Amino acid sequence: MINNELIRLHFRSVCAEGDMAAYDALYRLMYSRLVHFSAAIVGSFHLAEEIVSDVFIMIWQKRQELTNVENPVVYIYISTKNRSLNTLQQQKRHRHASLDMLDTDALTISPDAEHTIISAEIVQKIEAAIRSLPDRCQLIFRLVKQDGLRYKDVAELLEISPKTVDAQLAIAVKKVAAAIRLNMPQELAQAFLFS
Amino acid sequence: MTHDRIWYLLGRKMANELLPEEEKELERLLQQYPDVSYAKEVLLQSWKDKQKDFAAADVEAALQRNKQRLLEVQVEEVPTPRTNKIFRMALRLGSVAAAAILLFIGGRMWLSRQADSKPGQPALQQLVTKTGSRTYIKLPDGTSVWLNAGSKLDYPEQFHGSNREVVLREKPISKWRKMPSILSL
Repeated sequence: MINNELIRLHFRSVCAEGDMAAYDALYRLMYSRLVHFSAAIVGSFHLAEEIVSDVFIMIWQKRQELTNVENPVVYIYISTKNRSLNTLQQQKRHRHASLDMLDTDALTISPDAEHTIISAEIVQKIEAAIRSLPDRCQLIFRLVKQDGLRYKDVAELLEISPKTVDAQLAIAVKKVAAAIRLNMPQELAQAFLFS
Repeated sequence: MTHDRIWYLLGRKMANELLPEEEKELERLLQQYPDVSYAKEVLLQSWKDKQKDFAAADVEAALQRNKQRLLEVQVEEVPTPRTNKIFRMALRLGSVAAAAILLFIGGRMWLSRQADSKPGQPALQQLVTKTGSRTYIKLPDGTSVWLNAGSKLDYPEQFHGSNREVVLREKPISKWRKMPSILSL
């Protein structure tokens, strides 16, 4: 993804040169995705926004030590994950905060109605289909589809194998496709059949 | 179901992970199952967040808040985190000691009320910080002090002999080169 390449470049500029403009650009590129990711873990957008802000401040303060970070995208996501889990542990005194219980509302995405060829009704069906998936599966679908993470990045972040990412994504895609097909108007289905 | 291969490939397509030969395979399968093309279109288009679909202005505002915080923590960076931790511990111990010292000084003041203006007492300087601004000061003996907002520090123009006495009100964020011998809080 072009975005991920940009993130890498900006991250390097921040670490190597203390480039404030690159810091701003990095923030703008990653803010929304990280907030949604964190909110899914801590169950609050308000908290998540603070956590993401903390992560960026940490990056700026530690920038000189981060010049050797191999994969900045994964590094930033993992930092966000860890800080979110820590916060959850402190907040709710959970002994074992984990990624197994997620607030999936924060993860939900749907086709952009403005640019879509499908009706609002089908968009709702797609949403429902995604919501019926296990938490982890929803998270993986979002990380790939919305955040543009590579399979190996998702695997590293969630500490699973790339093969699992593949399999989980196939399950999600199948569900979404089924929701679309079940609701496809007859003539449209015909048009596709004969195109 | 024979479709399973399609979902696997479609997932990879969506993730931009499709290898050239897989691309061809997907094309073939889509011809075989044309209705899936529709799902493919939908999966490849841009999607948006259901909740908190941040506008550019929201992100900008968040960035400005972050930059403001960054400025604030950079001031706090001055004592290194380790010193800070040690200092905080010292402060905790210090506050216990301070209570004792306060009693002692209070007693002394009461005793020396008559001999109030002793000749030869060094002239005192007072540093007061405004609320919302931190101030750095170097004392005559080279001790550096960071004064927190809304604090007051009384110190002599010159320290004489071994008696290095300062009076501090409100909480300090400081790094003593060498603790003054009497510290009143």
